Amino acid sequence: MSAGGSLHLAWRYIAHHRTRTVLLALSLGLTLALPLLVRGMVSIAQSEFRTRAEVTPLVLGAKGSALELTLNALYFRRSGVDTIPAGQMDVLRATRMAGAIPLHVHFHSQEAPIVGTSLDYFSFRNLRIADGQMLTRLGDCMVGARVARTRDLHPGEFMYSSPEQVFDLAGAYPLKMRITGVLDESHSADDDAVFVDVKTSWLMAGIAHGHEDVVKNSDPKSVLEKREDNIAVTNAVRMFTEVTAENMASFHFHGDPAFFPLTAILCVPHDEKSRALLLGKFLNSTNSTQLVRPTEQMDALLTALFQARELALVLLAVLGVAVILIAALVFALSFKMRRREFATLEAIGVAGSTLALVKIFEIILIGLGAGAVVLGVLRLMETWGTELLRWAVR
Amino acid sequence: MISVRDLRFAYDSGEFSLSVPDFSVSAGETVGIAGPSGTGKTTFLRLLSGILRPDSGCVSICDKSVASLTAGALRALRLRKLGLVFQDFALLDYLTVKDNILLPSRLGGLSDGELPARAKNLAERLEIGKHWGRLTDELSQGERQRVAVARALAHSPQVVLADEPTASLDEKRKLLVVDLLKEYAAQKNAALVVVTHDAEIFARLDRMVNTGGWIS
Repeated sequence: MSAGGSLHLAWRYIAHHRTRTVLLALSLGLTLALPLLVRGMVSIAQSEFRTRAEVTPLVLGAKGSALELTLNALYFRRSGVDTIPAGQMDVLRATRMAGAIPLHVHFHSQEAPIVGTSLDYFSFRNLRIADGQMLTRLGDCMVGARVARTRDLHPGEFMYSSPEQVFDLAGAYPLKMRITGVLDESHSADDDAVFVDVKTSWLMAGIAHGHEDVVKNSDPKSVLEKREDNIAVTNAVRMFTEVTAENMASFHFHGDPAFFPLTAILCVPHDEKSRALLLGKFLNSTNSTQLVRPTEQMDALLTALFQARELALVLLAVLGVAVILIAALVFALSFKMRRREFATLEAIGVAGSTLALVKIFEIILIGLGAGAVVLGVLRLMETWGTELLRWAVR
Repeated sequence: MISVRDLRFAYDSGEFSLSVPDFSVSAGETVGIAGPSGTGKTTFLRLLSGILRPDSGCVSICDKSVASLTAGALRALRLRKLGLVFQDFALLDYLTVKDNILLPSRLGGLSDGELPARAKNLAERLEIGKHWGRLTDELSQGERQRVAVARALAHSPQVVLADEPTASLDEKRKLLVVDLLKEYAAQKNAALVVVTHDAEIFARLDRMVNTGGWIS
């Protein structure tokens, strides 16, 4: 009996029937990889969610789903969150128990969320500039590392906010934003975002605007009504869709800034006692805000994930048994169809044990192929699992 | 080298029964077996090679009684001492010409240093050397038959049993194959038994045996 000869024959057979071999190895490999993938993804989710939640002590936002509020504040998920008035920033600061960082996550650019915030956010998240400089004026933006890399963006270039309502001609125009800097890779949701000052975000929302000087420059035909303290003009007056050094002075806000919208406020208590007092204060609050602990929300999400994982694993185990049975059937049928070939080999004088070895080697080689598929899937999960998770959350 | 005495064999289906009172081939001798279709020529070769066991009588090959050997020992004997050319060639289509020729040696662990060169030389002699790396299912019937002949000789067997080894060949290559088989038998002092209907082949062999009287 020659093990080398048997291995050679087995290899030649599966190499010749490569399509069938690849399909079999793929189906077996994916079946084996799926439970590991589920476990791995839940583990990545646990690590990712917990880590970011742990460094974000409290989040203030509108009453409603605490989980949605947490996902908005931590992962810039744009749907499912009502706004709170910006005056809540002053309410928080007035307690002298915590710092407050505004967040307005409503718009997007090239599918990346635009995060309106203050400069405090960058130091709070330890975000460093890789290229360029910080935001210097209204209309500036900084891009996360992956946004810059995947869209080939650099400081000095421009990007546009996306129109939120394409068919609403009276709605806010897309804003042409100047990129002042690119952030260093932080391996977090910040890599996938575009950051602007919260005022720039309000500008996109149409709360602020800039236009040509209607007193000095406008066409008399465009003036509807002129009074001492106010001038009303038609839509023919040119609105600025980009903030420049020349037109910056023309930009102005309408209304009381205390009522401008924020989707969340990151609340950073000075100490544990302040944290506890703040939680108590907002717990009894009768207004429309809530103060949530991101770790609690993420733990609840993870508990649900663990339960789903257990159910998925049971189902995958059943699927796995079914696939292995089908694979056994495929091998059995294949060997049966090759009876003539094996009879020929026996007629030549090849020992039964050698033929058995050929069959075993074929199964082992396909098993190795399935193993390679498992390793490939796990490697993909290792490389792209976190990104996939962030994409799913967004 | 080959000796048969009072051999009797019948298929379970009762298709026919074969009765061979006496048959022998000595070392270096070349024998042709002739007879009408269905008179048990292929069955006789299968009995000689031990693939089938006789109901009674004695078959000895390479000085060993087939009846005294276990199935494993018989297979080992076939693999090492016998070279078989099957009527349907019995090639593995997913193997190249080279792999098919070397197959018995590889699976039997019979490889020696000279085997690849010997096999290649056989392929060249049989004019299939240019197809050395090609799969056998890409070859013509004649080429496949010559691969089967090369496979039977590559491991230097002491007995060669060939079942119609020239059926798919043209005149020129028919003689090429027969001359090679004869030359092999002479050089290696091996016994050669060829089943054929071709009178031209019989003329080149030492003697001829007709199976006409063996069947009932």
